[in-house]
Amino acid sequence: MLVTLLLISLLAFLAFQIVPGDPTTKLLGSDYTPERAAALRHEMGLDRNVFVRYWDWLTGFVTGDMGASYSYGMSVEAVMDGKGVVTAALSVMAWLLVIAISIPLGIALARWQGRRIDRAFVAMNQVFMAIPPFFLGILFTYIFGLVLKLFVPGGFVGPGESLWGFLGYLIFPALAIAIPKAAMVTKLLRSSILDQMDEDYVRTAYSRGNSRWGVLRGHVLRNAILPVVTFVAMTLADIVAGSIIVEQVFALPGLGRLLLASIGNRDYPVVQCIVVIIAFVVVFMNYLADVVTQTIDPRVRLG
Amino acid sequence: MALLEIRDLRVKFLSTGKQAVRGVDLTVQAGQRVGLVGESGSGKTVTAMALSGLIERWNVDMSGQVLFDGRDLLACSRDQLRTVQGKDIGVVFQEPMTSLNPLMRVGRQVEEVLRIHTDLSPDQRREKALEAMEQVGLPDPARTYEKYPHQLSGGQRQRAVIASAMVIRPKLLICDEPTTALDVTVQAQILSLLKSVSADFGVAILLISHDLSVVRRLCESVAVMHQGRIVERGDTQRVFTAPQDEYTKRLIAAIPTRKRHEQ
Amino acid sequence: MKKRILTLALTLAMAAALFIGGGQSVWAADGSAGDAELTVGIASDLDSSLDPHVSSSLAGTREVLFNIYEGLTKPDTQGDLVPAVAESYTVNETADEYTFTLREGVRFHNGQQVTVGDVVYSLTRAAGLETGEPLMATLAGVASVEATDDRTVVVTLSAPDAEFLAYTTAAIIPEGSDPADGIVGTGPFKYVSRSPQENIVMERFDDYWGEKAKCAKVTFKVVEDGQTMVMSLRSGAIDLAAHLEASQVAELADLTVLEGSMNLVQALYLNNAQPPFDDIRVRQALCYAIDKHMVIDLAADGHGAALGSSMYPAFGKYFDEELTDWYEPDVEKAIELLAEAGYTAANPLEFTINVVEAYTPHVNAAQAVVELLRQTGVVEAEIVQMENAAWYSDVYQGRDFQATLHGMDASTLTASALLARFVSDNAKNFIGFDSADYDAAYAAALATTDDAEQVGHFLDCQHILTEQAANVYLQDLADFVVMQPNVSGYQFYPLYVMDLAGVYKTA
Repeated sequence: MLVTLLLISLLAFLAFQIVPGDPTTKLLGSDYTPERAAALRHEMGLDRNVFVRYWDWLTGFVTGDMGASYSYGMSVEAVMDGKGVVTAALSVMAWLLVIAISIPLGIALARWQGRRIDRAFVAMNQVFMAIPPFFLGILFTYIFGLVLKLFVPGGFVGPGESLWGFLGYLIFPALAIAIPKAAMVTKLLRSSILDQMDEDYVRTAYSRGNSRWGVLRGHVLRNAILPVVTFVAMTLADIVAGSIIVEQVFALPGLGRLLLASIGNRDYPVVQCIVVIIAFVVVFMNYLADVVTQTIDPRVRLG
Repeated sequence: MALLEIRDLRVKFLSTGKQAVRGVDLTVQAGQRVGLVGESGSGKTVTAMALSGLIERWNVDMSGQVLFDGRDLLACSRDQLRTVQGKDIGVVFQEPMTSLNPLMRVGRQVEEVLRIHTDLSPDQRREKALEAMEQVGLPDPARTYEKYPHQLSGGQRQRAVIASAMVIRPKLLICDEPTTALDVTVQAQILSLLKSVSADFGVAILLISHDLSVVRRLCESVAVMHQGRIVERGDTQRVFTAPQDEYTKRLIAAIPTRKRHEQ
Repeated sequence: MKKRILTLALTLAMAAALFIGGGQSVWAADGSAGDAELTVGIASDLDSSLDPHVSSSLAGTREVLFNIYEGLTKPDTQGDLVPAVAESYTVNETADEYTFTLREGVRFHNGQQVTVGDVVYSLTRAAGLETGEPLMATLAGVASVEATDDRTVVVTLSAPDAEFLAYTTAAIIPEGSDPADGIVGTGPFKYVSRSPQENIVMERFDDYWGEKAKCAKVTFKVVEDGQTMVMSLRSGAIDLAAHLEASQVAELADLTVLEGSMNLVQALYLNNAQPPFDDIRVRQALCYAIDKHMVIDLAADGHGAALGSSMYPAFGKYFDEELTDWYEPDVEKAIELLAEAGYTAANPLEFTINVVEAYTPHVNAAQAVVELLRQTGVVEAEIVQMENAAWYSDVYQGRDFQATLHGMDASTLTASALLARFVSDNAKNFIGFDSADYDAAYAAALATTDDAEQVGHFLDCQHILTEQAANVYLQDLADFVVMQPNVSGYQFYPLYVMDLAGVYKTA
């Protein structure tokens, strides 16, 4: 896990060596001259070997010093202040929505397999899966914001001002992220349940006098959820990384927007920090998925 | 009154249009062990599934009567059927490897039928399950109770399946090729287990098999199925020694070769 | 019955409250300070530190800082310089010594009085007199800054510069201070806080020497997505936004829309130092082939002022309308010129146009340009969209490009702000324009103190740019400011600034 994070941070660091432009470009703007840039690079320590700089950054990072932002003239912590909360709240909310929508729906559809409602949902699901979140975002802003006036588009409220206002504003962005993902999980769960329904142990369970619901709940669900667990876990990582676009559409001051801007500014310390955070989420969710799989499936535990 | 009386059972699959069972009559008395023999595709398994209510009703067209304790199971609703399934009719399937839920502890599966059909407390259920597991010869029931199916051998799993069906003392046990997937020594053990279970608890057994020699070791009476019909029936010994139908004769003649082949 | 009376009473009370509230707002509109809070949408975050001497090159930052910092002088809405921290000034005959008298009672946001020491410190710092490296290129000509008494500061230049006064808009900050440690100016608003990519907050400075700002608090909200900006305006989350495009404004019909100009020179900038555009025939051919009025119609719904050289109309006397249509659209002539240069339908002129992807007006214009060029049958141009940072490093600084569609603005209201960059050895001459005539005309303009003569030289410069077809000049983009119906008082400047001191809200 640590090795993965190290590798990712190093790769992110090296990636910036390849792309054109460096922080001095943006800082100097139209006052740019090669001499000034060289002087500024020296001042910022950018003229040193990339591995030396990486080591510097790494030692700083592990001791809790994330460095200073190049483009904002403040520490990375100050730049990110309050933004992590927004992205974290948005992502977790979207993720919980994915679970809350897809698991009951997947089960219901599997139960009603072949019926008209199932067929209608399967067709709709296909559409929802294909909708890009930013489009949903614009649609939601229009319908829920401007027509129904359920929220004020662009009227983001910080968690410090009003916790409920903050969470209330996040509902629609979270929904915009959640719906396509929920559609995917629903589809996956439905087909996983249907696969399991053909298994021999299901017949055995019926032979004991279980109802269809009893078989589903008591036997099939645990088995069917197995292939879905990893996917759902990775969905959170996906949501964190993908929150960038929705943050733009809903004018949310989150990490995604900051990441985008910082890449544009070549503000490595900020980018580096966000990349490590996202990488951590990915790695951690992967680990969590393994743990959950192991608790559900005794075969994995011992084998 | 017979425990089970099948009258002119006909089953046709709607999806394929295949007429799998074409008018079967069969009677099983309480405590009796009856074999139903035939090649695969002869309709024997469909018959068994139809009478145990495990057939997907939307996919079949069924006619005739399946009288169990005087009640026509074919006329029962799904809910009514469930009061019989497991409680009065237990089923042991062919594949012990897959007929147990891989994610559920063996003990919980053995006692599930008690959870569904009785008001016993969890402790009482556990006690009964351990007893049943002991009776089918599972080693160290207390430990086996906590194990998962993949931790058991094939024979042990089939014993567990039998225990899970027997724990509630059903009146009829339908065994669909219970030994086919097992090796020969284990086969013999399972057959003698079924025999003693039937004798000890007065449970009737309907054994479905393609293998006449297996039927011969367990059943008092036998019916031979061919192309959805019963072509010959009678006392097992009699059918073996003096078969009257041509198909039965071919079936018996095939035994030694097939035996060699299997070994 | 009782209930109804109560309802009536409540209604009356509410109406009265509304009436009183309305009255207060009118009072605020009269010019007295109100307590309204204003939210202003800006399309990109202010990057870099908010150091007014360093960030002065970034238009988006400059327009915000305009409300916080002031120089000895500041521009008014007509583009004239009016005294700010200084009360008056005199200039000697050779235009190399400027003497400023400070206004009395000017205070910094921290409460301190502005002293000559602060002025000397600020100008010394901005001109880099101690480091030898000017922070503001416009002040590179400053030789010394001295206080002669406690209200007088004398600025001596190393060479005469009649335009120097325009550069004294450079911000005055407290002596010894560093904007990195705190943002303190003398403007009508004081800085409160900022959160990167989120907002910048400022409050009215109640001790401002001049007319006080009308809103108590202004929050600049960063809204990068154009559609989100429109939504936020429609929902009322944002009170005011500038620099909108015609397509966005079309969706905002119920709000107040003001049309001004962006004050920049949008052009297809050509790399004069590299083939194919080192050949004047090729450059002129493009000028004939690209109908700028058509580009304005296609890319900006007809909003925008056509330009013919590196100057826009807000510059008044420096702007020569005659140049706008110097090259009458003439495809035949373009084809002819290209044929002379060796380009035919069989061997078409192929080149790439670099555009910053975030600047949609430029991207749209580039698409129109490509289309117009394609119609000649001998030119195949391709658009390459790039990130801002990559554009700066590759195109602007690296000068590694063939053509780029961009906008150049003026940081001060001087002709040289737009024209200096085409002097052959100027560091900002990214198109590699090299004309001895131009260099001479420009030098002559700087050398003279006679206004009419100077204007004449600067007009000569523009003529040379046009005749040489240095670039394909297009337009000064229309600038739309959209406000909620209850917001008024916005005024356009001939510079890229956003003056919010006069903006107020009614109930």
